[in-house]
Amino acid sequence: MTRCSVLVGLALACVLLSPCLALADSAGKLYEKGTALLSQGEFDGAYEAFRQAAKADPENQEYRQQTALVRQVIKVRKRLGEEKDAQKWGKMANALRTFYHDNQVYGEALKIDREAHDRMGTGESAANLAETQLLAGKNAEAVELVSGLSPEIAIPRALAYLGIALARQGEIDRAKEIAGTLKIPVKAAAGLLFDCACLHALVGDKSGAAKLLTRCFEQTPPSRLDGAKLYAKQCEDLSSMVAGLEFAEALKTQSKVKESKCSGGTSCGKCPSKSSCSTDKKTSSSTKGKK
Amino acid sequence: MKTTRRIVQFGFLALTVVGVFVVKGNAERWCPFGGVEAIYSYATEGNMLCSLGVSNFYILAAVLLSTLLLRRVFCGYMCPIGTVSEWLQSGARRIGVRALRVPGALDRVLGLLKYPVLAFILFITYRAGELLFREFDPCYALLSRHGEDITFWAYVVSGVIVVGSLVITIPFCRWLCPLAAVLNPFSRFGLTTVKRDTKLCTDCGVCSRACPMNIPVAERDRVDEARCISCLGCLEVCRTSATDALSWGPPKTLARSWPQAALIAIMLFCISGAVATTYAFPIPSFVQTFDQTRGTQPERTATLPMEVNNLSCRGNSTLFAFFIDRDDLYEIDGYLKIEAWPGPSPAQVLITYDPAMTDEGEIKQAITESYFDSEAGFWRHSPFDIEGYDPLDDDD
Repeated sequence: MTRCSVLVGLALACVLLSPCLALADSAGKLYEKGTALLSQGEFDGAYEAFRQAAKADPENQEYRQQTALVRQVIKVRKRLGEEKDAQKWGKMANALRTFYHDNQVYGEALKIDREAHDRMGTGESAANLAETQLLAGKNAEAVELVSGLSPEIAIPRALAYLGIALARQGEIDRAKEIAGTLKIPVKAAAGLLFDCACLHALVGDKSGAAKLLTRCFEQTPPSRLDGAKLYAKQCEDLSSMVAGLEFAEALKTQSKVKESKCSGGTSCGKCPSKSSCSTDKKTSSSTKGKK
Repeated sequence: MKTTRRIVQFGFLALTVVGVFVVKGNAERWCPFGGVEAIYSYATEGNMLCSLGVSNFYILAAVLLSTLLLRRVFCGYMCPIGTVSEWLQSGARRIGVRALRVPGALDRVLGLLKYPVLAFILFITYRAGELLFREFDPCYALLSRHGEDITFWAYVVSGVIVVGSLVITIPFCRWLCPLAAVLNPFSRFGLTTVKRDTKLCTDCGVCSRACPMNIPVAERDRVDEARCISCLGCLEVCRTSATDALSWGPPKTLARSWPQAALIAIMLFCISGAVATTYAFPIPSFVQTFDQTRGTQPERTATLPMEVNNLSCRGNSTLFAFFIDRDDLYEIDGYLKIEAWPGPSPAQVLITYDPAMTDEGEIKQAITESYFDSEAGFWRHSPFDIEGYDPLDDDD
């Protein structure tokens, strides 16, 4: 009798749980479908898939956030074509570009970076375009782009990408020359340090690459450090040093950046953004451009 | 009298425990010392620190009023630390642990320590704009259900108080409590006092020995010491109480002596008044205005009340304002005022806006939609949910 009860209980549990599991499973499949469509640049299809996933699993915050974000991106993409204000256009383009990179939609990122560089023609816009070209595997185009820049706008980041592109194409000597002459600012951003680390790794300077990687992680905010380390482990440009001791040591680096905990609401006193935190009524008048 | 006081102490302690561990309320909101700590930020910024609310001010006002009327009655009847500390010593005495008697002069010197403690806490709090003392606060350690900010040192301080209370009568209350430092100047001018009739007194000294605050009652005609907590323990032990050698009441009085019930009634009236005022006048703890016209309200405004989740303190409220003040696709035009009561979810928020420039739907979208932080270079997902609103239903 007891064994029978246990078996009945188990059967009942399976019957009750299976729809939930099936739903979660289908939500997961829908989410994967959305991700795949997104990487192909199929925004409307991706949005629909994410929306269905969020409906199937309403408790899953990631599905809901991604759905809302893709919907916003679709709207911004439409608005971008109509925007006349250069500053606003730049901000929207930057937001879209970040989204495309985060979701590996490099085709769209290339389009927007090309348009941005055509509009602005700065070292920064050139570096952005070169970065996306490298991510999309268009090494030759990156070389052509950066090589054609005038010296005034050939910023270190752009030159780093040139070096990486050359190294990937087998032109190690030219890449080494760039690596040797590249002036890295003392307070360089984490992104530039990472790119320089990749360049040094590609030209065989593993020790230099490890040092740069260490500096990169020190400059990465704590909330993004795990992601940065994972990216470093998976980065093909660093693959030659992943098995090495220096790389393992670099991965142990802790962030030296003080990060605001504002989102979490704790520790306002220790918040590095406190001095710029707008709780003062005198600064409450909005300074952003209004319609 | 002692039994009555124990009952009142138990009542307040039970209320605190139930409120914190059963109802899961925010005990910090009802701490009078929180009101002291928040004065500066509220006066200069119009916002409360951390997860404090204006109820802290109402409670502080009630405690100050009761102190003016009844001296440090808060310490003697309501404070959970005072209650636990006193009961620990009482329990220790029952198992044969004798309390150490601290000589009067040393006791007075040690009693001065609370003033630099108060000054230090207020200085670091006002400078940082944050309850930094919280990390070491024994009361917060116990009543926050081990809050996020709690450090190991808070439990060390709690442990020292517990151990100290076993062998010394209420040491924290006598020597270190920063709230006592605030109350003492008011208590010094307390309207009620313990009086000794020298004609009836036999000078046995038992009243002085009974005083937990080490006041030499037998040497006074009136107990004017600021540290008197109106426990009336001296009255109870007075061997000549039948002839009323000791009495308690106003100095110039309609009746020579007031009963303890009057003390409790006045105290409860003050506290009830504070609680009632909190609900009758719910002033927001966080206020921020966004206005193109620099302080001038439009002719017509509308209001949007909301219940928002994950809005528990000033930090969250600042992030809330950050989202509302966005400058992207979901930016809101025109006059806007945020009034929030941060606290356990859902928190109350009231938005006042110009209906000619925006509407409820746009405001809700601004709060809940992701926002690209161009300075930080990444997309921020909004941590806020609005009760009864699903952004995914809002398809246009």
